[in-house]
Amino acid sequence: MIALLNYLGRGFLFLLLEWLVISRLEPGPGWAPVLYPMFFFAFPVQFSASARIVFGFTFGLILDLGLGTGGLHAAATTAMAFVQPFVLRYFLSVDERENNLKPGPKSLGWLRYLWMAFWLLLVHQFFYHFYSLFSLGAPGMLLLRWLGNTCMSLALIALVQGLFYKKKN
Amino acid sequence: MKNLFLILRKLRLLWVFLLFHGISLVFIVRQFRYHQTVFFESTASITRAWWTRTKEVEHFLFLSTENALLHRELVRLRMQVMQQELQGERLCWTSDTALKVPYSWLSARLIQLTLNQSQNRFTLNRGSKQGLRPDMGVIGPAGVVGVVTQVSPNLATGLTLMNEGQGLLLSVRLKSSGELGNLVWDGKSACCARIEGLATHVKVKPGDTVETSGLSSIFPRGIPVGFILKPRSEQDVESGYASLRFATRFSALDLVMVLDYTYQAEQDTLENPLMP
Repeated sequence: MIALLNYLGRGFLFLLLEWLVISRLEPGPGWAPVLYPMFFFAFPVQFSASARIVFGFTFGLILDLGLGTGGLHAAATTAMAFVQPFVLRYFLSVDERENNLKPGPKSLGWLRYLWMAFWLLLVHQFFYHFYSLFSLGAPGMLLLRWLGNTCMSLALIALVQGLFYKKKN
Repeated sequence: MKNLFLILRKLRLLWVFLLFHGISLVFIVRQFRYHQTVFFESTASITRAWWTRTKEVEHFLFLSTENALLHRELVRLRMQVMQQELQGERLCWTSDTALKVPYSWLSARLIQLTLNQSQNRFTLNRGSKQGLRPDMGVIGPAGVVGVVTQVSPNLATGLTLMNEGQGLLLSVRLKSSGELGNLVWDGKSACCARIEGLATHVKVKPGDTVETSGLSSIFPRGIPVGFILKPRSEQDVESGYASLRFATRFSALDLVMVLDYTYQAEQDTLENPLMP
């Protein structure tokens, strides 16, 4: 119960951060880096896959309501939550999965963590920008936004994780 | 069914994902005008394409019904033409200039017809004065009736398809595959006969059309003779048989057309040069 409240509290903090800070960063039109997927990366490995999807959808939808983005974040987060168990299965060993590991730079190591984050962000950003453009008429634009935003979001996550990492040590 | 439930259960994660992803899409489409336009245009074009394809399939599936309706209409129109010609006593041979078939025809009325003999015959109200001669084909509104065998100045008689033995041997073919055979009546039924000489590999379906082969000068190719009655049994396949139902309803026959092959004399001279 305490763990759940802890998660909810952290989720609420991430929502506030995304609403008040990250969404106001506007490097240019079409550029929208995100930080909140980091919150989902930290879910324990044995967290139910269906619950991940429901949680992702709810979280994304609340964010959409605040930012007026319809269901863009909800769709992208749902997709990311759906593929997350498969990505974790690929990145984690059987022992790590059985020990209900919480993925992070400390438990996985920086390289593995960022690599895992990169793939999940790829999924998230693809759906976000695909639904945002809602057209196959400009594949170059889609590719640019997709990969550019993935890299920017990854850098942002690495930066925030780095700050906390230092503090913990 | 149990396996289906197992598969559905195994894919439950996918269903959950599709459900929430679908809800998100609904929110996106509802929120943005551009997305609404794109979505409704896409769904309209998909619906249009689906509708067109469905209609095409539907038309294809109902072709046989339309074919039957057209055939019925053709029969009705033929009857109408023959009726008018007889009422007006128009005694001239008509040729088909549109189809370029080397046949001309004359309407006639049956004045006598037997149905329960082993050699069933008919008598027509036309004779040699109107140009009739032996070996002319006779067709009814629905298909082949028989062949003229004897003529008098004002009347003519002939054999119908319901003829046991070698009285009338008609060369026929299956419309679907073009396979040839001969029509034989076994004297058992007034509505049915059989095809002989079909190859063993030939497959027939009930309802397949059997028509004249055009290999004799009596009938042109493509006049309906009958329709396949039932699939061939093993015995039929071994014997080369197939059962058919006559296209012509002999019991309700009244008006017929007598066919005259335009090049009859020329063909006879060419094929039998020694005959006078």
